[in-house]
Amino acid sequence: MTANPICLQEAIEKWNCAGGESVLDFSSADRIDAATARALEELADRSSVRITLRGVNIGVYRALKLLNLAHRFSFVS
Amino acid sequence: MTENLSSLSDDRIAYLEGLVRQGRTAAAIFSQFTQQDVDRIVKAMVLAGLEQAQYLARLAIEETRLGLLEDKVLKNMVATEFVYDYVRDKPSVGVIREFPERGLVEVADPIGLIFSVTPITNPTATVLFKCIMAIKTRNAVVFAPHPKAWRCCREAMRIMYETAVKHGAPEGVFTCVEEPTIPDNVYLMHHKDVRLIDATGGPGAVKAAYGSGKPALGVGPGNTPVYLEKTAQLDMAVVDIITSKTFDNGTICASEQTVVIDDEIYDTVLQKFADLGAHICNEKETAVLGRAVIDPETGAMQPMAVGQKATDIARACGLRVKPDTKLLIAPIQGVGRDYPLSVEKLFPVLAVYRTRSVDEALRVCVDVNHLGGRGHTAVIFSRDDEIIRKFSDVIDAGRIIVNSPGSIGALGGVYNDMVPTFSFGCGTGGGNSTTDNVNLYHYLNIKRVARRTPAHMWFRVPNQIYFNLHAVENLRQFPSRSTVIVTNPHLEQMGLVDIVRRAIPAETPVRVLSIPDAEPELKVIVEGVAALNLHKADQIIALGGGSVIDAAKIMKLKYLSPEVDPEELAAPFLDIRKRVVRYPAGNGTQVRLIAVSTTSGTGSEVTPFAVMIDKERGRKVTLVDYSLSPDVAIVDPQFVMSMPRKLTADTGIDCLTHALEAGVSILASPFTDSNAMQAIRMAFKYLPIAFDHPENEEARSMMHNAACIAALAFSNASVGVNHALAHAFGAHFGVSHGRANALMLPHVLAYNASVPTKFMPSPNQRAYVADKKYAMVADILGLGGDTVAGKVRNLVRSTEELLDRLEIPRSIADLGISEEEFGRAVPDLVKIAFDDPSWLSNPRMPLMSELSELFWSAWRGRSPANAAAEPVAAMEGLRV
Repeated sequence: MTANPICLQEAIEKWNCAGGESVLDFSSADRIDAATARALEELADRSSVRITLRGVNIGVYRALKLLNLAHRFSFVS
Repeated sequence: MTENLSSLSDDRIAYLEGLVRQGRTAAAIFSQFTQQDVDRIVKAMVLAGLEQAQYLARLAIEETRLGLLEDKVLKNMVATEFVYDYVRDKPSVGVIREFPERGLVEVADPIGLIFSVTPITNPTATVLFKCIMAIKTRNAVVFAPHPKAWRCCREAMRIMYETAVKHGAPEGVFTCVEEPTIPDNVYLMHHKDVRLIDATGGPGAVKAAYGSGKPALGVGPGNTPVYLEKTAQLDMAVVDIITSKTFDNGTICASEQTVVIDDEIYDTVLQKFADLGAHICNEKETAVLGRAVIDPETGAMQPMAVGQKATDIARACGLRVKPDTKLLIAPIQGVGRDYPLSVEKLFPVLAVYRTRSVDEALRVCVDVNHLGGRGHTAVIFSRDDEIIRKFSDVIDAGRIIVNSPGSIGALGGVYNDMVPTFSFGCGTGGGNSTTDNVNLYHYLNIKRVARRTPAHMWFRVPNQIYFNLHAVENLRQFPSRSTVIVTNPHLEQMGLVDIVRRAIPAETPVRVLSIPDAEPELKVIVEGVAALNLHKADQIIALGGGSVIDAAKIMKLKYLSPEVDPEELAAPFLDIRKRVVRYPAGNGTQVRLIAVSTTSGTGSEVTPFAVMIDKERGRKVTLVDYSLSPDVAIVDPQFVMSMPRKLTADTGIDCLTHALEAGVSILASPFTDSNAMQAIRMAFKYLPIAFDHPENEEARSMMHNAACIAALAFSNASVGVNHALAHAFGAHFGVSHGRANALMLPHVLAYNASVPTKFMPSPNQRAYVADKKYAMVADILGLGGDTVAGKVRNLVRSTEELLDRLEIPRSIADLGISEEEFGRAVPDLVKIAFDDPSWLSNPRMPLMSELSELFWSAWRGRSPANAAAEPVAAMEGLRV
């Protein structure tokens, strides 16, 4: 399934309120779409803490590399 | 470029950046798609394109005012249906091709964002074509159509884009520059996120694409020559040319421009053209037409003529033609600026030239081809294959269309099996990167996954080997009309020739050719071949040691193939299967070579090697080929019973060296190992006995067999660095080959058993095993040792003890060669040893400094046994 950009948007808002450690679980996302990519970029722009993406598959990881976004996140299995 | 970019406003730059951003994002997202995803999208796009073919054609006509509606519809259909037919079953995601027998897999990767320039002449068809290719290959495209065709192109792109996105393609996968300008193009061509430029259009766009420094597919203009040769089917040719040249009013750049017609058929052909609606211009009309449609200053087409009907052009020029005229045909007498109509004409005006010969025809076609059309397209109508071949040789064109229309033929898939395209690569002649019909493979990065493939190995030996005492009696079974025994005077005096003669059937005529007891010279070979010819020999018996048998091998080679130059056959090679020179297959004459060995060392009776001296050129010539191997080997110990002790020792150590080197060679195999190990075992056991008790028949027999068995191993696994050192040293100081080998042997064992400075590349070796194989030898010999290192040490020590037992000097210094004399020689010896092919199969690749050190170790002669294998112990835990 494709990651849901609406959920990501909600996550951004919650983070900005909560602060602290930020982990996004991508383990059920087979791929990302353009909206998700934009949301992730915005998230990286706006968040003051380092964001970790969990369970990112290699296809999504490669897409993030092509988008020049991968370096803005940490990744855990 | 700076000048071009300075005219771009900030807003315009922001706009262009937005297009690139969308495309880059789409390309990244697209990289995650599967083959099924893209195939589903492509099919939907093709159906949408077909559905809208007429609509888009109409838009193109309205905007560009070029071409014919009906033909533009056909173009749009070819760009969708025919292109789809080509791509539908072709994998373009992940693994696209596999070659299991070669261990190769091709994996497709998208390119990313492509910037695509499209032409005014084929606007919508080109966009449809490029959209389908891009989706099939998971790429995104920013289109920059010709400024006078951007609306219809944008609409074609919109239909493709909306269909693609509806079926799952990423947003932003296609965008189109609105009202594109040259500065826009320059900006995008230089943009860091554009990965490929695909420029289909005029020379300016193509040149700019290549000038950007980006990877580019630039495909440009043509000037298609046509040779209408007298053997052609004229009715077909005339119809094809009219069909092609009038298709879309001649806007396809592959369409015919100048038809060169044989004199014999010229008038007939022109009449046929006229009968089918062409207007044949007279001289005055041709001049008027040329001035009107070609700019006299630049020599380029006048825009007013491009893509217009013949009747409209005629009217504009003031020519009076019939209202149904399809084509204006203008006879010309030459090619170049003085003949304006000899250039490219993207409208239904066709030049014709009457030729008096094939040579003249080809020359004129080449002239047309080089007048702005190099690399593009050429056409020939002929039934003469030889003329078609000549035409293909001399014409510089990516597409040579035979007996079919140029424009539609070049598009591919209709009249021939070429790849359907709307971009014609023109090769370097046209300043392009490809001569192909541009297709989906040009939109892919194709990765080759190359698996390790073990090289094919072999074990080649003579057909028949007879051994043990009185094995020579087997000669009786070989009938011969004329036999020549090659031997040397010494063996003749010893009566060995008589033994052989007695074993030959009485009715066989036998002649003896006695040659000097030394490595054979070319002169000896020549004389030997003369004798073989004189006696019409069908059987050669080589009786002797390595020199005699080698001479006989080369005599047989020259006898069967007099034209060969041994010097040329001796050219260096790295892999016998891939070497440059090929040995002759012979002339079909069967000549049997039987080798009867009289020493127990070289094993020449079974090897594919032969050495000769070329005195004129002052060098040794080593020939290697399995065709040199004797047909029959006789390994009869009665011929070695009287070998002197020193010769017994030297040749015996040569045999041992062969086996030890073959055993650790990178070409070693289980087949050669079995022979090498057995020969080592026999040499260690029987060589001291044969040395101490020359009359011991068993020991002599076993050593004679051991030499042959070792030769079977090194004939297939080759030797190593020991031989390279010994060859160089022995030749320089006049030391016998076996003795030179002996002086190097312990040092080379220690050297090969230690961790290499450089490994030898070898697909057959999966680990460095030389030390382990030496340890295995130690086990076979029962030398003891608890570790690999310990066993190697014991092998080196035992080898040294064997050399001592055989009374072989243990250092080069012991031969009376001073340190100064040796020091002067070493630099050259190193160079010679490094040029020696023997070490190419050594497990370690020797550095020149290491060769030098080995020479000096041999000079000092200090025992390497204690030093041997220490580094191996350190590495032990790392080995598999």
